[in-house]
Amino acid sequence: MTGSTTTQETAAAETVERMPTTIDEARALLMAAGEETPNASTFNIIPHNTTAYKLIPSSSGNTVVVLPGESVTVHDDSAGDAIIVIGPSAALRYITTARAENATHTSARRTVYAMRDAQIDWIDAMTGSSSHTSADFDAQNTVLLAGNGAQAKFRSVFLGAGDETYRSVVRMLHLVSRTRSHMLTRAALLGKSSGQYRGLIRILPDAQKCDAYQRADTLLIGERPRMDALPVLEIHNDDVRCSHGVAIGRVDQEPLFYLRSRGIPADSAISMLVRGFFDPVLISMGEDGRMIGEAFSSRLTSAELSSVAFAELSTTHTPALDFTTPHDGRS
Amino acid sequence: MALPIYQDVSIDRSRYDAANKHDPQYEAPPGVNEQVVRIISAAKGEPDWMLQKRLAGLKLYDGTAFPTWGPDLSLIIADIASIRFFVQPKAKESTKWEDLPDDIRKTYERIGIPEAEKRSLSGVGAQYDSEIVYHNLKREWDEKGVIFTNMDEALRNHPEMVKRYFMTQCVPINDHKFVMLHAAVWSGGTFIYVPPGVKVTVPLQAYFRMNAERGGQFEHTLIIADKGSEVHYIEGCSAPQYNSSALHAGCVEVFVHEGARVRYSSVENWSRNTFNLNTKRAMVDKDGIMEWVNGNLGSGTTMLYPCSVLRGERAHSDSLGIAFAGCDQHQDTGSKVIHAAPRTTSVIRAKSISKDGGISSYRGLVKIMPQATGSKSSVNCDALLIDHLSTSDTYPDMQIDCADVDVAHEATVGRIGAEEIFYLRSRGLSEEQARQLIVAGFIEPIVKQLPLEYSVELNKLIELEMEGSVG
Repeated sequence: MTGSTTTQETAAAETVERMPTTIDEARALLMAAGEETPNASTFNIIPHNTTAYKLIPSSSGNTVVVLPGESVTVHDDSAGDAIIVIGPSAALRYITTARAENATHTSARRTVYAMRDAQIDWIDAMTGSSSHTSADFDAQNTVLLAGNGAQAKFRSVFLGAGDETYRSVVRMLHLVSRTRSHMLTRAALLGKSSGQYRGLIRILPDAQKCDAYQRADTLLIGERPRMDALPVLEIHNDDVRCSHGVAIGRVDQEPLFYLRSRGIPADSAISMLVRGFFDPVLISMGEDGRMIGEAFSSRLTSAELSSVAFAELSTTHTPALDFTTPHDGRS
Repeated sequence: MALPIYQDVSIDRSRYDAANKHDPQYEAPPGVNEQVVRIISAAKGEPDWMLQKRLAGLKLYDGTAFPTWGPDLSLIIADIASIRFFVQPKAKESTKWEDLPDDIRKTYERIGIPEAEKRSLSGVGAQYDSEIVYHNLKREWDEKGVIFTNMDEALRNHPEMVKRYFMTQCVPINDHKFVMLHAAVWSGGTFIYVPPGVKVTVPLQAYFRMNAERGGQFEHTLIIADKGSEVHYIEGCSAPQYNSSALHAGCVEVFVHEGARVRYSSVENWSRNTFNLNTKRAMVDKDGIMEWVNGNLGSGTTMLYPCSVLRGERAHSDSLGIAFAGCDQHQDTGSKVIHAAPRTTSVIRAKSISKDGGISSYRGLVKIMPQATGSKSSVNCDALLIDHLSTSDTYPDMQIDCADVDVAHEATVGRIGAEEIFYLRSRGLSEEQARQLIVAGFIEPIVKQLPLEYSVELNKLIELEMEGSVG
């Protein structure tokens, strides 16, 4: 991992504010930063004064250029790879959603390259399917803070059910000084679904006065959900502020008891608590958050949740398997 | 300005780094092969099952690749064929300090073992290169049935217990590459058995020292705390400074039986040419408590992740670690906890300091198995970076396979704040004193868990490492 440091440093030093005009130029920016380039062969330059832009689904992936000083919202449910280059002082709101209505597998690699004073506000949601619960989702999202003063805010949510598997990789790479990042992931896993979270904050030796924060919370509900979280910090200089936190737990029993005592059925009570868990994040996302919330709600009211909820309440905790070994014979 | 501990910081690292004349009774040819393994086993007059275990370990070792993750091990991999895996010192084990040969006694006196023993220890063992040279247990504990002896002797006198516990369920010989090597060439180490209900109120101590150049130390420590017993074991390590690499691949196995409590403290201060690739693990039964206290200051490269397997209901593990990485040091340390029974709890607190280009990494694991309902775990890592050359990495893995749990992790990385320094300077401290005071405060929660001699030593070592850090 440290091997690419020098290339990244050089790239940072040589960052020119010329916007890429071809896919190859966009790729070259990423490569100079030591990054592998996603497969993204359709090239889009967002025209001046566009406020909303929607990426066309493309199996070959999209490359998008946001011109200097522009401010745009890009919706991406293309389920493909993407390279996005944000010009100096431009602001991008990037909404990526993965649904698996008819598919059983989605996978996307997206890399955003932020130039001087660029801002990205990224919302990533994996909302499953309303008809089945057996898909697997895989997202690898990377932000390269390549220009001084660039800022990134990343929020992701997913709600797993049935046998679904989710894998969310988020990489925040601070290549130069005075860059800031904030990452927040909230996930709820129901039934036998499983999640994997890999979050990285990397601050290079010459990237000073950086500020980075990472938080990932997971709610586990029901039969046999599984979460594997690995939030990584790689800090190569001392003039930074950096911290991260992870919490993994079950639905809080006290509010659940309270709701039940008010005559609310268990499944509705749990569904309310799960919505309450996502709400603060979804509300902060505005209209997009409301859409994601609706997709989650339709999952929560499905029959599957009810059975899960009742299982949750009726089981008293008995160990499934005795792992102890016979005691020392001496005593 | 009275700062009693910090006033006298004149500690001379040379007392650890100075080597004695190398004059062993016997040493095995360098490298590891079947012949060397047979020589070690024969020199110790071991039973056949142990020889077979060693040979099985060797076979696994030969067939396994070196790990490719974590710190760079290429130096030791290149040197491994020239390491002497067995060096027998010229001394029979003794229980009288005066009986030790002059040079060995001198080494330990230089480090300060006898004074510590006089003051507050109930027993002490000292290992010089591959074998224990001194062992003493206060009669009081002897009479209560406490066994504190070296591993070789335990194998002779308590073969049943050793056969049952030695590299079987806790750290099996196929665990990883360096455990396989350890199984093949282990020598010396400590064996402790505490009978049911016995509470050993003062710590037992062992001190390990590598003297030979291109040496290897592979001590095996086995601690069995029977039902309801309590014991505190402290271990210190050092080695002289040579230009070639040395390898320490020890193994610690702890069994905390029902309701027992074990505290394992170690201050490792191997010289900078040492690769410290150590394995420590505890099996904790119902209501048992395991406490790890680790200070990692020495060694060029350390890979050490003390692990507790909580296999009995309500078992608890507490892990405290401090790592200091200076110039050319890579401290890759952390803690692992496997929750395998209901209502088990664990707490991990890790602190690290990086300076002069040192790399300190926290690499840890919390694994909660499906049957471990109602378990709780909390992990807290703090890193202090002293200058812009240094690196701090955090890799806390959480594998949660059970919904009814409560797991939390937090980590922060930062440097000494300019405001803190300014405040202390305005109170009349020099910048260097202010920095030392802040660092001492940073590690204080760990230092205060150690017995007095060790906390003083740890403080002094950190101060020594911090000297000249202003600039």
